[in-house]
Amino acid sequence: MLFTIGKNQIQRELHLIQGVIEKKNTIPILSNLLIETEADHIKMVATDLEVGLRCKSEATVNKEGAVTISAKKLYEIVRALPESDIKFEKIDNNWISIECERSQFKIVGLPKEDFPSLPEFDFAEGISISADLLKEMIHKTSFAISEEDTRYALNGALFIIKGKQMCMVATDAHRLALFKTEVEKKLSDDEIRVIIPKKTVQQIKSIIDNGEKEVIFGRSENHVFFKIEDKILVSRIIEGQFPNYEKVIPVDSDKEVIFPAKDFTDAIKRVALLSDERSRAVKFYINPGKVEIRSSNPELGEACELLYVPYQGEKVNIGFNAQYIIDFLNVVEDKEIKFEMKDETSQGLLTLTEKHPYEYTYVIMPMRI
Amino acid sequence: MARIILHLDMDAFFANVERVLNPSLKGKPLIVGGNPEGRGVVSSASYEARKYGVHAAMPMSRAKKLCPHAVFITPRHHCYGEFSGRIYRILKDYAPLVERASIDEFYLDLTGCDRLYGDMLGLAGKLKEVILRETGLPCTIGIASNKLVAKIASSQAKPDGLLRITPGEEALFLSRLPVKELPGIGESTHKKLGDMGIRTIGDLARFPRNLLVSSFGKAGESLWERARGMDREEVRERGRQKSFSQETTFEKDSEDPLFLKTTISHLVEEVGYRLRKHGIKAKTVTLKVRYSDFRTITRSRTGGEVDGDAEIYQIARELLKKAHTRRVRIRLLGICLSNLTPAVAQKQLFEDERERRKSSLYRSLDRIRDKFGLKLHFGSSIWHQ
Repeated sequence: MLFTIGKNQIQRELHLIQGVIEKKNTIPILSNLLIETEADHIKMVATDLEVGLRCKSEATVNKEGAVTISAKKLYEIVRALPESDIKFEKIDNNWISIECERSQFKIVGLPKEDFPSLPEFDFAEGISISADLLKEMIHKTSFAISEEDTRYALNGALFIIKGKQMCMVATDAHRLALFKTEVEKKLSDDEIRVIIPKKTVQQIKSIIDNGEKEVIFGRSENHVFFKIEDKILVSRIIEGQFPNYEKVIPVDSDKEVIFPAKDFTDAIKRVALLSDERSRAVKFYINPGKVEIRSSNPELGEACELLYVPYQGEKVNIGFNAQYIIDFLNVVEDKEIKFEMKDETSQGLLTLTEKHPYEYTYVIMPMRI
Repeated sequence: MARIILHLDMDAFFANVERVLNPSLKGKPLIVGGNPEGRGVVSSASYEARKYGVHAAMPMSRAKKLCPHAVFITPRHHCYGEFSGRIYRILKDYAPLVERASIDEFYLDLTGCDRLYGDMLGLAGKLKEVILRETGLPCTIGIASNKLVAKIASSQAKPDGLLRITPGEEALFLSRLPVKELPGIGESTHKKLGDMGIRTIGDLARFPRNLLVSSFGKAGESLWERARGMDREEVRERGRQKSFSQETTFEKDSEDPLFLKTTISHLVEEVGYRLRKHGIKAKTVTLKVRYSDFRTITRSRTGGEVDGDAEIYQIARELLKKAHTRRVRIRLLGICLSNLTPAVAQKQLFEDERERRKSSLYRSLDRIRDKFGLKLHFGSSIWHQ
């Protein structure tokens, strides 16, 4: 194997691959990436057996071949090299020589045969989705995916396609983010309903970056596939029952407060500074014309913020985890936020007042304080 | 700046609460504790009973011998807790920082408040008056520049007293008191100090520091400092409760499996009730077994968060199997719940039906207990519904 490639042709791909490689993997071959030559380009593949990424880069191939080498080391080396052409050559015993201007490296590789094969998909049968819309959808939901391993089905986002509709839901059982949209062209006749792992959706988000127009989506029995230009992401589907999210979206909230988004964000971030570090609890005192947000921490002290709002309903006091509200505010760019509530034990509902090509709903369970 | 710390200690708390609830007991010697025929101990004795030599932690049988005509009462902890809460709320109106050190003991940090209240003795007198008026209960207050001296001051002024130690006179005040008055000196330390010829706190203060350190290690350092009335401990607002525990000494030693099982279920109901009252869950359950020869064994298990009697009981039963290995009768069983998770509870979006029914069952049981107290036992059968 012998090929030459420009540093800029390969650096971003190597960066994306770092996100797929499992840092603390016990199987040595999985910390490597597979490089294969093909006519006028090279293919790079990395996987942690749950998520796999396949990239293509143009190269001048002098001699066909394949090898696997440490993804992390290769990235570090390429990043450090000058902006110039890099020559890769396989020498004896799967060693790779890397040369660039006056630099030379020799690193150990492993044979291609040890590398696991990734499932394939025929993208002619795929569904075309707007890349921007998919990215926005992930951006507004993925932060709510659970970090705990106790409820496996919550470790991913639920992705649904049906007719012209597309939606993504994520929850950690305390709060839930739902993004729903309808497109002009029919996407699929049958309903597609899959739970996609957190790592996969985050990968998709970071791959969509350079003004890509479309993402081709496909699914097989156990896997989902995303083709973003010349990159293909393969992921296992999380098996399990996603909870009935429609049931927990409140419909009987009788108190509605409209907050100016920036003031609300600033206020809650300040109050959160003195909330209990573990629970992050803050309390809302909703009164006609004004809302007070308070926090207290037995070791530190207390904080209070006052916001004037055009609210004329009943008084109500409700506690929430400040972090959950901040997470929501961090992903919206609107000027106004609508916060609907019922009482101190029922879920709060955060939505946007402006018109968007999508519907965005955020449900958050209160805390007893 | 010298601190102003106030230690407020309720006088014969349980006994006096019983009197407020039942005025016909006024003036009579009163002993709150376990069964006088059995082996329980005195939790609290009124001053009339103390005249006969009865004091807290004394075996009930002994108390009965010393003061046979006393009125004996089984403790009703939930009532005392409520009174304690009322007192705490009164104190919060006067002091920026109130620590509830135990059910009947409070520390107030009034540093910097002297300009607001003027004379601290005047304020302390007023606090005593307000508490007596609002709750009917007498108390004693000690004022000093730190917690240690304030506590000793109140213990010297009991009952219904008030004592202030002016800054700079701490060591002088302590010097004539027996060393045993210094909190933290237990039986063995007391004996060891006695052997060294130390009788009073003054003796201890005069004793060379390095010699104390060589006999008691690090603790010697703190002994020497405290004997001179030095204490840096701060008043802490509601030091989070670390554990909930309950234990019982049997009337008669036993190894009857059914009896042990029922005792565990009673203990579980008590600690479980208290745990849920605080809206807390526990990760660790510990069982304590004391055999008739006083050999004591504890076994504990740390796992998922629990707050239901049924789960705690299940764990406690397994722990008993592990702990009860000798063919010797048992005299005491105890249960402790620790590793507590915070009291603020994040509500769940998808509460499953079983969980919902379970928590509503415990809410109902706990409401019944609110009314009738801990004497009421439901037994394990009801939790398994």
